[in-house]
Amino acid sequence: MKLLLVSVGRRRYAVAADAVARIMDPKLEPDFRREAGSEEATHHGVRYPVIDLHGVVDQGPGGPPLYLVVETGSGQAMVPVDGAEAIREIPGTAIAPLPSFIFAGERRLFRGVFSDGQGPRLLLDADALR
Amino acid sequence: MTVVVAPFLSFRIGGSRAALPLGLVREVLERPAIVPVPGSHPHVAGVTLRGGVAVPVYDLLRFDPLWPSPRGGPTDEEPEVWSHLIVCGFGEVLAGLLGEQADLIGGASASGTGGSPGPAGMREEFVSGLVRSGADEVALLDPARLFASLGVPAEVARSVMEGEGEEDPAGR
Repeated sequence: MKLLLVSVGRRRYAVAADAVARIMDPKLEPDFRREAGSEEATHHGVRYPVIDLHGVVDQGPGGPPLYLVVETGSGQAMVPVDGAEAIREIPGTAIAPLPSFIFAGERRLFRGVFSDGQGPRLLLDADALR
Repeated sequence: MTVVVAPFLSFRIGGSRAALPLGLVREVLERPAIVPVPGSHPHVAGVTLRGGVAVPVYDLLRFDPLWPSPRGGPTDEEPEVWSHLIVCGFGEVLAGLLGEQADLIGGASASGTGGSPGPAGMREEFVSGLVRSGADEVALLDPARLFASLGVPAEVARSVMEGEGEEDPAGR
């Protein structure tokens, strides 16, 4: 499966490429609005939930330069990232599911991990993003 | 009462020394790559990949129930305080523990904790006995109590976790 490799602060993640509808640069989108720290953004009058992994990983946002528009199980959500590195084909068999018992709550933003050659990289669960 | 116990693997957790039965230990790794998992329990340091399996890694310094008083484990900004990952098999599940100075200790004598409120600096309920290693007092951890308290389910069949990956792990 094709995965989009992204960076968020010092962390590196991946998301299924076919779940990414757009990679948006907010500086080039005059209709884009998001208050600092808000969990919601608007674009062309449409409201999107924002899943800010900077907050999840407890790192300062520092003005994310890019937003992924991700197709979730029930619509679209935006995920701010610091960089979109590459798209890479990773066999599904190379992706190990994360043990469910390590999570503290019901909401699990990640569901798998694979080796990208530099180390383990987490795979976002697109369906859990909304 | 003193009993003879099988060989075990000892390791340092902060200022304390602990040990687990060697039969429980699958491998000891030197500084493997570990990725933190946002949303996981505070005592979960992350996961590491072993043979295509995501092995949860536990930092016992952050596991408050183990200590008589909260230790306030290290933060991401502090220097790492571990050098080894001790990969254990608990039931059918693999789980890793961070530690320093991992060392084998042969058959030794273990004694009860004697009602000590904090054997080797740990809560008595997690310690099944004490052994001496040189000048150190080593707490023999109760694996069943420890792993169950960490949230590791012994019943999970490893075949599920060692499956050939998910057909579509991204859920698409």
